[in-house]
Amino acid sequence: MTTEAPAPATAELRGEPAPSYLQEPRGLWSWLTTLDHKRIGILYLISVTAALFVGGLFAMLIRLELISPELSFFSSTLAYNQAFTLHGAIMVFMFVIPGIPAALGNFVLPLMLGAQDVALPRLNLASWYFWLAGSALMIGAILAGGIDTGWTFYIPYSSTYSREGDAVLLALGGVFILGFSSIFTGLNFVVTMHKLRCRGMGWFRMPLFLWAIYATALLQIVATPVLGITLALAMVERAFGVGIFRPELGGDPVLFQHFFWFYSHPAVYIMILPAMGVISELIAVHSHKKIFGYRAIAFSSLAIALISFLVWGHHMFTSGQSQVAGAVFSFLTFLVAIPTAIKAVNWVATLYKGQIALRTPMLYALGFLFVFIVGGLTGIFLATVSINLHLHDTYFVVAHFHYVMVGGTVMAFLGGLHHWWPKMFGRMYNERAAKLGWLLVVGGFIWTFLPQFIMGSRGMPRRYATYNMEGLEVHQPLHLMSSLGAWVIGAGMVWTLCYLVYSIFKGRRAEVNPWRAVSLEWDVPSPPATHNFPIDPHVDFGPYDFERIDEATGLIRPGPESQRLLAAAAVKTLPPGAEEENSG
Amino acid sequence: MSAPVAQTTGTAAVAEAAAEHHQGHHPALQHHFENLEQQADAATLAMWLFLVTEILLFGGLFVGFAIYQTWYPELWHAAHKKLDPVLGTVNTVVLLVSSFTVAYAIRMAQLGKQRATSWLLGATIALAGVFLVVKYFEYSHKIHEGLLPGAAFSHAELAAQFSNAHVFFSFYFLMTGLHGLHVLAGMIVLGGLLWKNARGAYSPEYFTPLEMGGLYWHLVDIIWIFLFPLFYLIK
Amino acid sequence: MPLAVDPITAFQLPEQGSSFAPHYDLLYAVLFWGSVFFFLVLIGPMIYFALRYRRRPGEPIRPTPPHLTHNALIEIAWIAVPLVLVVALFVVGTVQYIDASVAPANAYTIQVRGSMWSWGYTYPNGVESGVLKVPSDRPIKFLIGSKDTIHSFYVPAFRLKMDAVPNRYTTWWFQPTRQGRFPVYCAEFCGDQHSQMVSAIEVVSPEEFERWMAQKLKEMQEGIPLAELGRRIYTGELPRGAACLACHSLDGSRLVGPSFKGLWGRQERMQDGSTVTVDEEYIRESLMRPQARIVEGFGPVSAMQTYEGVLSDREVLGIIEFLKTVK
Ligand code: HEM
Ligand SMILES: [Cu+2]
Ligand SMILES: [Cu+2]
Repeated sequence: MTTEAPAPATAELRGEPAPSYLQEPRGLWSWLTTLDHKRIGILYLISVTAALFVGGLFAMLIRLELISPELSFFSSTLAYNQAFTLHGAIMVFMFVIPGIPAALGNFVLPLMLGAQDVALPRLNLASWYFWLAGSALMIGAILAGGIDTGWTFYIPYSSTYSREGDAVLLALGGVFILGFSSIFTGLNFVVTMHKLRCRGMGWFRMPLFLWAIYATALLQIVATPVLGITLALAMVERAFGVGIFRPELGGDPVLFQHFFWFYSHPAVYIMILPAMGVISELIAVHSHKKIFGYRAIAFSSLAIALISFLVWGHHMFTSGQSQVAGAVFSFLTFLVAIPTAIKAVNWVATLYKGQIALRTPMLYALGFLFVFIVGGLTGIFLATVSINLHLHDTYFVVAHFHYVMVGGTVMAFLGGLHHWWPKMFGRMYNERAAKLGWLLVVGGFIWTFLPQFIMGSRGMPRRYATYNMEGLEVHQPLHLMSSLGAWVIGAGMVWTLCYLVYSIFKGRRAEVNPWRAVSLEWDVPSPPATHNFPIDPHVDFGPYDFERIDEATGLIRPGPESQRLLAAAAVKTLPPGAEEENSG
Repeated sequence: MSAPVAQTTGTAAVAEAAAEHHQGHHPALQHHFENLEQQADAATLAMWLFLVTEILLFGGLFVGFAIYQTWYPELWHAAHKKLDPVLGTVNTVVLLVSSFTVAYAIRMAQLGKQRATSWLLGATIALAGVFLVVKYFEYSHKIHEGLLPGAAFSHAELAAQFSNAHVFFSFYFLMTGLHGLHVLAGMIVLGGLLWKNARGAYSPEYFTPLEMGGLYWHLVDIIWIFLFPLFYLIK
Repeated sequence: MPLAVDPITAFQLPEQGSSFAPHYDLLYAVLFWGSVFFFLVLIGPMIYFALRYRRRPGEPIRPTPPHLTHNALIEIAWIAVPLVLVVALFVVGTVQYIDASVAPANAYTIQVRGSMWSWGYTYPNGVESGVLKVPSDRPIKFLIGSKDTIHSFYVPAFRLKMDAVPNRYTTWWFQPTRQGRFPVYCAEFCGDQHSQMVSAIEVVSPEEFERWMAQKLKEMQEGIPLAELGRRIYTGELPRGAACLACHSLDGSRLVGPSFKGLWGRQERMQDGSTVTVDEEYIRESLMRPQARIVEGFGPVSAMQTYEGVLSDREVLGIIEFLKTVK
């Protein structure tokens, strides 16, 4: 240590680490008021993980009940209905939608762009507080008696027949506010990507994760307001009865479904596009090979975003819409499968002749492919409108969307978490523990949900508290199997939480670039300093130009321009304390 | 020298500029922007995106309104006669003028005329107030006649003719009510800007917040421009 | 005879009970084996590559040769091939779907009414029943409605379901292929007893059906048959708003609105150029939302006012049954 207290920037250039964003500034208050995207990412990470575990708890209760055909675990069918509603609503609105963009995205997006922060740091923090407020209302709904409407809030059940009116209002309000939290994140990311890319960072030098986040953000901006107004109308219907949706007041409940799915179908792509982005990163980085068809993958994200606005009617094939509408929605739904297939094929092609390291993030990526392909292919079943007539609202649909949302998004979330964990906390987790966790999660997942496809195609309807009726008892063995599998996933999740948290305190220190990646977040210390880049970066290479890695140090070899300028910068001394105002 | 902890990519452009970077910059410049221009660009883009979300929020209601109008055209026609086109027109003019005053306020800020800016912002807020007062009279008239949403509807004449005349007034109160909330929010925003302007926060170099407030106010105006013919001038 | 295509459908799909089911199961089997094929095509290479191209510790990173980063021909191929396949699926699926949702003209129509939490059935002759017996010798059409919230009328053995929506009719139909008892479930979440909202369709021989129906008719001591109820409303004998007869003649003469002579099943040209087959839903819509579709030559707006809230469900059905009799 030198006595002249050098500014962090110069200190770093000399090889002395500046305090990391985790260390400075100190205190809970500094975290709750932070404008640093990295800290907001961590706050989000903690929050959505909590939501994941609470939602998971409800899932375990549901599976406990379904072990036996009669009502056995819950005291009433109402309690069961509340459990699956809360499970769905918490998972969808509090975990899956914000999960990857707001937690992982917040942390890495500015780093990947070579930016010092997102464009609107205050809005970013506001987004997290909106998440908290929305979630608080959801908890309020539980305390007010619980909701039993399903996460889809279909009218007139939610407006007229569900008994706990206050709880329904609170939950609708909660989701409304969570929607704004999502809009804020999306808006912020779009502006950041347009305005804060560093020197040399052209659109096609962005890692594919950012393309996926960009497409997602557009969806968040365009679709979520429609959800907002739909939920607001549903609240007004419940509270006052205005007769727009409520049939007994002359309204049309199917109109509500149109409005709802106009958001909620794009929302399923809000859930999966970021996951696809993560997978593109993981596959390229851990194969140390340029991704196959960069542009095809990038543009397919945008194509998916666009088409996803035109397919909402595939959730309503049996609601009495006209045959023409049914046919059109079926056709457009098939079209979404094309860009999805492009991605899957390009990922597999990237592995060809790669230099693959089968570490945990890569294992999650492969697990994702395995499971997501099943999810996508069963989507084709459901998109075939005649096939849908039988499968709709059965366990087949339940299995389909768990394959894409859990098998897809949750696995990508875990893969991304393991990939960026060393950067976030500067520690390595135990690789063998992580592989065990992976085995439990992926194996448990397939074990739990594969039987549900069979039950569904054999006619087991969804959202059933009991199945001791004529023709349904036969599903008991498959239900039992599914319930056992749930414990394996549960064990895998708890185990994962344990070794990850343990690693923060006891893990080996992480290098700057443990995976030998070339996107810019791997060019700053692990964990990064409060001020992302001591000097504004300059890139003259693509996101997957792995030959730019210097094997000895693991660092990116500077280009000629950077070399010259770095040399010049190293001898300059900045005025003491010049950077300090940036913290906090 | 040991291997650097990190950052092998870099431009010294910033390092070189760093010395003066942190001395001479404008107090409103946030650390993650390079200059005020980039910051203003980002704010403008963000504002436009926000306006998109606002339009889509109203868009849902507009679509619902249009669907019901095609289902029940006679009802829509009969019900719209209960609205007062004169008051609607007055309010349209009031909002148009207020859009002009806010635009002029920004122009004055660009020219550095702080007092004029304040006066014009004040005028905009006052016009917004006029709008709300007129709306208050319209609403109380409707309430008095029982032209209310949903179950509260009690207008005997319309009720005798149509079984669900209340739906029109549900849309009326929801859409103009949501718009009214936006007017109110606009008044608060403009009030904040007025206060800061009076304390000299803005100058010809830096007036981005004023521009953003102005954009928002134009949106409030434009939404009304759509609401007015839809409700008051049905053929 | 069911087209028993494939053992896979035997454990994945329930027993077949309708003429639609074998077609359904064939398409399902195609989808299933096609999916298995594409799954293997993707996952096989994935596993092989992941094991084959492992990086040895310390191995230097090779630059990726350009032919491994993109290839226009291959990329176009894997857009084109899936595209062709999904378009084919779309065509087959849609044809089947139209088949399943458009009933033949001679179908025997039974009204299904969901309510929390049971199913009720009304036969064309006005007989109301809590159990659903149908004859095995003719196509059966269901006209589905709801009294309260949304339900869904689901019969796995027939591979069909349709939502029961308040203020609307939806339909599906089937041709029985064998006698027996087929469970009916509610497939749209409707509250506490949603899972217990079960019923069954009993497909019986025509003779047995006639016997049962005669018995039911006798039991219905009083209560007017549907068509008669409809006639009384139509003529104004039973006042329900303006009498239909005031504007719609039954003898072909043109009054304020079109005459209803021979209306049932007719193709009507609409003002916007489309054509509509007069069926239950069209009549119900015309009563509830007269402006929704206007017959060519009348309008631009209809002079008719909505009967929303004026007519009960049974009365609407009565009018429909009556109009069927107007030849
Ligand atoms: C190849 C791509 C996909 C196709 C063709 C597809 C098709 C469909 C169809 C047709 C349905 C309606 C099923 C029904 O209710 O009858 C459906 C349901 C659903 N899908 Fe997908 N899907 C695809 C991918 C995804 C993805 C990526 C997600 C989310 C991450 C997703 C989430 C869902 C959800 C949540 C539902 C059910 C919603 C509910 O009723 O609660 N799907 N899908
Ligand atoms: Cu969808
Ligand atoms: Cu139900």
